[in-house]
Amino acid sequence: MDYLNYKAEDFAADESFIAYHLKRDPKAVAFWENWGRLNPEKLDEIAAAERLIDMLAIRLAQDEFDLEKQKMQSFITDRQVIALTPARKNYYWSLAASIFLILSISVTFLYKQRFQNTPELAVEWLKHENPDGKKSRVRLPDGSVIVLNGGSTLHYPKSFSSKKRELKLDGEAYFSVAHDASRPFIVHAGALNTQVLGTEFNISAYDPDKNVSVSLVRGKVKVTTANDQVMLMPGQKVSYDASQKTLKESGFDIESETGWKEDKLVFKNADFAAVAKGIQRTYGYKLINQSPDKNWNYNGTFHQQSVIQVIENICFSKHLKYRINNKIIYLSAEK
Amino acid sequence: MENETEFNDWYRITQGDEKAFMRLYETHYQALYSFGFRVYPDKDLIKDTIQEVFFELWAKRTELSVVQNPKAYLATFLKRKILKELEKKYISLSPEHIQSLVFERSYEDLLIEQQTDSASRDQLKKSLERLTPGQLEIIRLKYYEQLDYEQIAEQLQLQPRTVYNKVSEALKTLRLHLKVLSSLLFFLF
Repeated sequence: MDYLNYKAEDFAADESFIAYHLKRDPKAVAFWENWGRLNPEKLDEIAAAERLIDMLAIRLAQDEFDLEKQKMQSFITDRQVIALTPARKNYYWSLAASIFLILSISVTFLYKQRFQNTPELAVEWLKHENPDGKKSRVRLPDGSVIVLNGGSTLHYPKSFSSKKRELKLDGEAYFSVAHDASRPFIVHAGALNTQVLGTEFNISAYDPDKNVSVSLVRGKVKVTTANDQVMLMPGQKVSYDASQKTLKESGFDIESETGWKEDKLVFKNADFAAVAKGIQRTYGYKLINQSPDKNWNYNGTFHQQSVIQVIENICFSKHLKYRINNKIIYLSAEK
Repeated sequence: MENETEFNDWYRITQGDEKAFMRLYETHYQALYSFGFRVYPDKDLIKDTIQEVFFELWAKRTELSVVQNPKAYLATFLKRKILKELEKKYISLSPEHIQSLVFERSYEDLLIEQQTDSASRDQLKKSLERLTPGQLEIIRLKYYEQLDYEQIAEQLQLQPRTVYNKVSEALKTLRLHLKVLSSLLFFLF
């Protein structure tokens, strides 16, 4: 069958496509997920086909079903955990955290450099934008791979020049840069310019007017501002404070810094604002604290868990209860 | 084979096996939702009632007796609960009157009810009116009853390929009409 000539109505009438969309056959799911990846030009027709099926079948939308399922799952597991030993959960978290730490140790460098913040003219720029709650992987023409976090935007040229590879970032991204000594790779994020020669590093620039940071995982990097420059060693991080216009070096915890790209949500001594930001970026839910407890110092690591599971864990350890309305989660004191 | 797994899972659930329970949930949820929606097309009520069915099942897992057909068991359980909910909701109505409220909607009505905003409801209503009764019946068998082409062909005394062509034709009509309508709407706003 020549699926490439298929239109939405043909996909929507295809037995195996229906089985894929309704998740009734794992083989069909694997086949169509792969087919969609290989044929991105057909994504519009596929999306239209999925809408047609959704319209004609009586069923609960997949995301709503997932939420219901998670509620059911936490209902049955939480019961048992509380009935057995309440402390057990925390033990799991710390165990998980240390394992992740061991697995993800790596290197970071920063070089100094004078860099003029003037992207070349006459280049066509493309934009990749993620809303809150959505992560994506961007592969650049030179083979570099960028994992872009939720609530982040990456600007990059349609094709790189022969002299340099230049990009602009708002938000947070993890870069695996293809080595090419003849063309430096430069990322502009807020006031920071990061130049690398084939490396892995994380840049967080959600609020470039306040704080931008670069954490190097592997390779060589130099970071400059208009009047300052820093060189970092592996595992080091540099943060730029926009109000003081200063650069500060520190170590970093690889898991809390780069765990997001593995779908891990990590809080270490996090205040409420940090927890709320993490949840908004990862899940697209806003968190509002209506409890009298304002001084948070929260620790927790979550791996591919639903927003409900995360919130329930937070509420459990902080003795709060929650209410969700319209993608806003309200926390209040447990009576 | 599938039934055997399900039978074993049912036993595992009575022994407190969470994974078996979640398998049961996942396997039957959408069919139950579809059934519940046919009983009474109120999305939130159906969602909540299905959760209650499973909460109760889990809470009473140790007392569950052997069930030959979990699907039918769950559907009966759900229907009973929906009726109870309706009795609470319409407290002034007699049980006979409430019985008359359920299983009342046609397939087209259910599809329209399923749309959450009034603009999409109107659009879908207009688009469905473009289909012949025959097309609508085939679409119902395919997407609502979720039969495969062979089964539909047998039921309607047609060739499977003919059934497929009819489905694809009906979908094309729907899609083109919806496209025209939504571009009009887009233009208006």
